[in-house]
Amino acid sequence: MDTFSQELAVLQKAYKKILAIGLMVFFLVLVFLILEIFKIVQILEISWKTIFGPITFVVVAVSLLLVLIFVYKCEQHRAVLQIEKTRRFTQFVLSRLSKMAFWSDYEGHFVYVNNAACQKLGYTEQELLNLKVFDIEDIFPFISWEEHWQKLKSSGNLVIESYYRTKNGKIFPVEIHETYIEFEGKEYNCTFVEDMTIRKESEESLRKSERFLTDIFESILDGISVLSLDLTVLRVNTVMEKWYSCHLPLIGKKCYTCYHGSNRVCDPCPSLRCLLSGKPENEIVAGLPGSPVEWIELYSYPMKNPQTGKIVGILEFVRDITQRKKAEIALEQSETKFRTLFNDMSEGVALHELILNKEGNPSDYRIIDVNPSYSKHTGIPMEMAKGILGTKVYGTEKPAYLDVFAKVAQTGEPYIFDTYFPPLKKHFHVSVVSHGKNCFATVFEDITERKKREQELHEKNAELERFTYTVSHDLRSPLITIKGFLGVMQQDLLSGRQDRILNDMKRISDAADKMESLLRDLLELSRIGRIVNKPIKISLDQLFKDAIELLSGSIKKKEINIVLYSGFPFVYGDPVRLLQVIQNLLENAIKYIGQQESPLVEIGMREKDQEKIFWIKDNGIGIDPKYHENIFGLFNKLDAKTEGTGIGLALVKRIVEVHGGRVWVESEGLGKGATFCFTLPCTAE
Amino acid sequence: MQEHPFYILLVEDNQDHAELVKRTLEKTETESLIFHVDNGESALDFLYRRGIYQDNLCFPKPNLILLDLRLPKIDGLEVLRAIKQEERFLDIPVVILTSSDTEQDLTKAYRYHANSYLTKPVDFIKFSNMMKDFGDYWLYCNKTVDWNKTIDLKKDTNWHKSMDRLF
Repeated sequence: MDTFSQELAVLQKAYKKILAIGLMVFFLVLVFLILEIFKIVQILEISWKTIFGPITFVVVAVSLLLVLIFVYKCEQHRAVLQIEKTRRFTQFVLSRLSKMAFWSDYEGHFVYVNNAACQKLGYTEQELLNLKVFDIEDIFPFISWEEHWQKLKSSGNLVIESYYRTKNGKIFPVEIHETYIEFEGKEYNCTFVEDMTIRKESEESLRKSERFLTDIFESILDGISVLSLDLTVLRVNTVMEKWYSCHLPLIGKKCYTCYHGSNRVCDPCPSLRCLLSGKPENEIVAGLPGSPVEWIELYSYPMKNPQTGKIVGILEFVRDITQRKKAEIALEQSETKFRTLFNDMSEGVALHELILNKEGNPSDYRIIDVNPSYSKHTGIPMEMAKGILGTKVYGTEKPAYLDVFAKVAQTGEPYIFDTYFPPLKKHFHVSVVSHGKNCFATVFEDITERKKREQELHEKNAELERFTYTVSHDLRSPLITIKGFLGVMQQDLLSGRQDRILNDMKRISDAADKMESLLRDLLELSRIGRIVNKPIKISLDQLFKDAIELLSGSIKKKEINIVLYSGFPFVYGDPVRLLQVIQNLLENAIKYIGQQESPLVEIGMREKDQEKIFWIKDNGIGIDPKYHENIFGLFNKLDAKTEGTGIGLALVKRIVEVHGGRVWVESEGLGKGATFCFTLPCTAE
Repeated sequence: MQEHPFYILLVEDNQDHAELVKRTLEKTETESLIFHVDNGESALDFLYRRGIYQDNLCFPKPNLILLDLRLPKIDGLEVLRAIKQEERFLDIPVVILTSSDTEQDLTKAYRYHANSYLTKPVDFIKFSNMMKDFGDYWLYCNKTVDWNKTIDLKKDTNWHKSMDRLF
């Protein structure tokens, strides 16, 4: 700029000098002319008056002419100067332009290049002016110059993207603006070129980051949906398009229309909440009916303008939680099912965890949970068991069954056992299963009643077995005797031997009697299972007196002293059967009184553990303690020679047991007498 | 032949049956002497020479025991087991004579090492024949140990060694 003003200043100085010299020359010429005229007038001696007019005219005309010429020249010079100024300015601007600029002619020769072009391409101006356009443009080997020129000529302007090669071979992208110009009959291509390297690079990185974001957008397995402030879908990923394929295209529709098939805003809508709160919101909502996505978890994030912080849109993350939700529902149902089972099942259930000591060995267990049946079976209230140690719940010094439970809890192998549990005085059937490491559950049933029944059944079976056995043996015995002695008698008769016949006949007769009484007693025994007579209130005092009365004959005969104590209670029962009991026991005492000098039978009562025990005591031959059990068995006799069938005491036992009582014998041994005791729990006060 | 009569210990609670056994055995060839006890306890007392059976001469060691199973005080099977558990009684054959023919009794009797098992038939002819056969077999055909010649096996501990030397 400075250089140009200097040049301009020099030019203006020169112009003024020229103007001053012109004026001086004009005045000199004018003076010379006037002097010449004066000389001519003196020579010709023409009157000044006559000559003055034409002279003046000539002078004025010449002067005017000169002035006109001068003004014209000055104007001409000024116009040139102006053009030069404009040209210089243009050139100046061009040379300083950051864009490359050059003119080339029809053949592609450079006519003009600016500084930027020289710098970018790495040539000097002279070097460039000796080159052609296609020396630097990388694209021309593929497109012909002529073709390109024609295209430019017909359109006037062209914008193309191309690549230029610098002097040292580097290639860079450019954007070329070409203009076709005809000047002074010549054709020119006026070209402005922009180096696109930086723009291309930034474009590329923009494209890359765009692709990166798109990749992320598409690679997320959740559905993503971008909503505008009025809940219009702006963008979705393919997951969303797959899920809501029945409503394609999604973009441009309202979210509630394409995602929920509704024409109103959903309630609840986390996106609306998110718009109001400006915070991320989420919600579990039902999916579009008929779509594979039955349950979705929706996260709405507000998209904010980083500068203003104003919400510009909503980003929705849609997660398919159908599987999870289904599993949850199934779990809930299963939980309800098992909880109901747990609460309603008849078996008691207790869940436990093992307590380990410092060495890691099981030392106790804690009850975690119990069901209502637990309380029913054990009698322990649920709140007295939950969360409490086994030793405390059952009041035992050592945890009960710890070995068994620990083994199950640690190996996971279930175990089943029947047990009698002394702290609760009950029999239990227990299944132990493990439901986790160091955890175990007991499922149990109170089988006390069953055990009792089983025991009873066992006893009944044993009795039945004994019964059949005895029937086959004891009923057969008299038959053998009868037929045997008949045979013997026959032989004796044939051989004429008569001395033994009467004796043998008695044996036969006795055997027949024995058989008859056996059959009678068996019949009697078989009747006892069921009490025929309705239980009534009976005076035991009276019953004992009746029995003594019935046996008075044999009592007198053996001169036995009977002592009957008083104060017996009333009982409920079958009087006929109970009389049978007393009669049998009394009979027994009389039968085995032995050769006593002062035979004595006492009848009395004692109380032990709030239980009334009735006893019939004799001072007879007594019973060896080893036989105390089996004398009550069917057909068991201690002495083969004594009369009776061996059913009596079995009968007594049966009747007493049917009445719910017990019967037993106490005797210190042979010769020490015996005391038969029995209880009747149906005592009435 | 034995110098003394064949001693039989009859354990039978039914007096009539005992009498029948005695009478049917009278007919056998071999002379036998029957000692009758009517319960299991007495039977063991007899063998162990306890209580009233202490007299060695009156109550000798029997050559055979006829044992009923259903007995007062101590059951016949218990008596059998007691006998067979006692080494010194192992050389006495025990013949079960009972009216029971249940499988249970039969099996148990043999498990307790009974030497024979007889059931009393109701029919007298059969009973008579059976006792005759019994007498013929056990008292005549079968050889039982003669107590007078009994060697004490315990004293002859080298018995099996002397056998080795023979071969």
